Amino acid sequence: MGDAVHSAETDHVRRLNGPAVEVAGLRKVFRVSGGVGGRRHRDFVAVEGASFSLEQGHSLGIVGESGSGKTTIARMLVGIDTASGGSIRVAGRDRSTPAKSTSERRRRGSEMQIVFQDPYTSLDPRQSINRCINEVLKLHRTMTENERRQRIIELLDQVGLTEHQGLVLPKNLSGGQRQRVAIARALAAEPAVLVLDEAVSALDVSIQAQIINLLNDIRERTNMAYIFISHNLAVVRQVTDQTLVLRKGVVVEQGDTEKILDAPENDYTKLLLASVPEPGWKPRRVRADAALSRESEI
Amino acid sequence: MSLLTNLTNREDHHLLRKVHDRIGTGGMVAGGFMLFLIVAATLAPLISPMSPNAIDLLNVSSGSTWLHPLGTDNLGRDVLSRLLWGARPSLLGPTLVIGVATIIAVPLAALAGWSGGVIDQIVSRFLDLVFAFPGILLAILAVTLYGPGLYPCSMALALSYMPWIARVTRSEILRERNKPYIKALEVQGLSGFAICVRHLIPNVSATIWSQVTISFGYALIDLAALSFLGLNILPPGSDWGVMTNNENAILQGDLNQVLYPCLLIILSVTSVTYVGKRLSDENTRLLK
Repeated sequence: MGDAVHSAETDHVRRLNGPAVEVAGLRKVFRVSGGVGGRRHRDFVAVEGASFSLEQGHSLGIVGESGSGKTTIARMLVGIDTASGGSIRVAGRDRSTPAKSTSERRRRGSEMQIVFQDPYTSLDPRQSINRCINEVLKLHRTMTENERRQRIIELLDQVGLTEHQGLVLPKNLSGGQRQRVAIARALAAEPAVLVLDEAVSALDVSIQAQIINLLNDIRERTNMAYIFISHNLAVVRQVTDQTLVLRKGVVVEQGDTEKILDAPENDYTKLLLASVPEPGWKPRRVRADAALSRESEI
Repeated sequence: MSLLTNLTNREDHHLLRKVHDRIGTGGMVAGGFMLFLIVAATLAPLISPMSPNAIDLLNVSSGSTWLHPLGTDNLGRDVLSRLLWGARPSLLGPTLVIGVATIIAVPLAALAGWSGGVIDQIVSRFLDLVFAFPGILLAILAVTLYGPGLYPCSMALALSYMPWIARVTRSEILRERNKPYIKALEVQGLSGFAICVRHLIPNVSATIWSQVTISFGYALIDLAALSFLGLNILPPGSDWGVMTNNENAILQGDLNQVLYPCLLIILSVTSVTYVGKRLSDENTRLLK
């Protein structure tokens, strides 16, 4: 991936006092319309009282089944959704309420970035890769055109894309390449925290491994913090050092990734781990466990 | 063949093939016909055989002759020349109508689709309100206020065509704005205006174009109807609508005086609508 190109100057290492992310009592309630004529509403609690903090250069995994509220947390963190309660601080600044001004939104953008799951809809189909990254650089940094051009080449190289690939439209790239572009675009803002919302789930296994290595590289170099949302426990083990297990919007277990994945305390975490196919895996046992956990719930 | 012509030929071919991919052979024929009409209208002063209002009293209501290829009308005016000159307001009118309508509709649609909530409600209800007035009725109102002419009629029709374009554009923007690439730009902190102008609107432009093309055909008919009623272009000026209003010709059985303008109206509306329909079919296909 041409690592030799990178000098200390090209990697912008952020130093913050205090944690990169602090979340306390985060809550999200969706109002679901139901009943006759949609007049009656019912509240659906997507996330209930999530609290965690993440240090610079560290990585937090959020795991749980579909619908457990993982993505809702990510959306609240980056400001796509507004939290119904609780507080969010990123890089020492509060962002619990929506940004009022464009400059505040831009500032938040330079603190935290996100990479989405689907690489096929994450890029503007009419914009070449270079223009896509150039737009972000123009937004966040004061650079001459030449400096920007230089930086684009650096960023593309950092994610393993060639200068030539920067000239093409997204449709000419594969899913894995597009995801690299999405990562490069997020990195262009030089955020303190990068949220990866199932960012490798849609990619095939060998590409997944490449992107994970790439992410680990970048973290070492830039001291960036990651929030890594995934249902793939093997990937979470490789990328994160802390993990948070979500079930139906509630944090059931959190702590060191190694500890949670090797010696889970919560029944749900155990079930989640038992659901991963491995040598000697028996679907029947999982079903029995699921029945057990349903019983215990009642 | 030299390398240069080879290259330019290939480029040309490429563009034509792209157009062909989108609208098909039928669309190419229809579009070509419209292009031909536009060129003819532009060159009318150069190519029309005589002045559109020159009266040839010796050849009143004549059929096709060498001097008057499409014959003359009941005042002895050359029908071909009048068709050529008449093409100008006949094509300029709908362009004006749809141009103004689009310039108002697209920002409104972007505002509604992007902001959502109360602003969307207000804009949408306003569009519903404008929808309630038939275009012809608004045009008659404008004529009563400002007198007959192309501009009052066009502006009134522009207002009534505006919601047709705005509504389709808004729903398309609503669909597009939830895509991750737009969310990513929001997270970057790009202003809503910049996202709309640089990303949202360009990405729904295919839909806007098909709607604009289809509306153009309808506007052409409406303006011709207004001319027929004597509210738009007034004699001695001519557009195709005025030319169809020739009761003498109809009563005397000289149908060719009325036939040609009618034929042009029908053919141009069919062509434009066909291209628009092909464009919108293509959009639906691409969405699947």
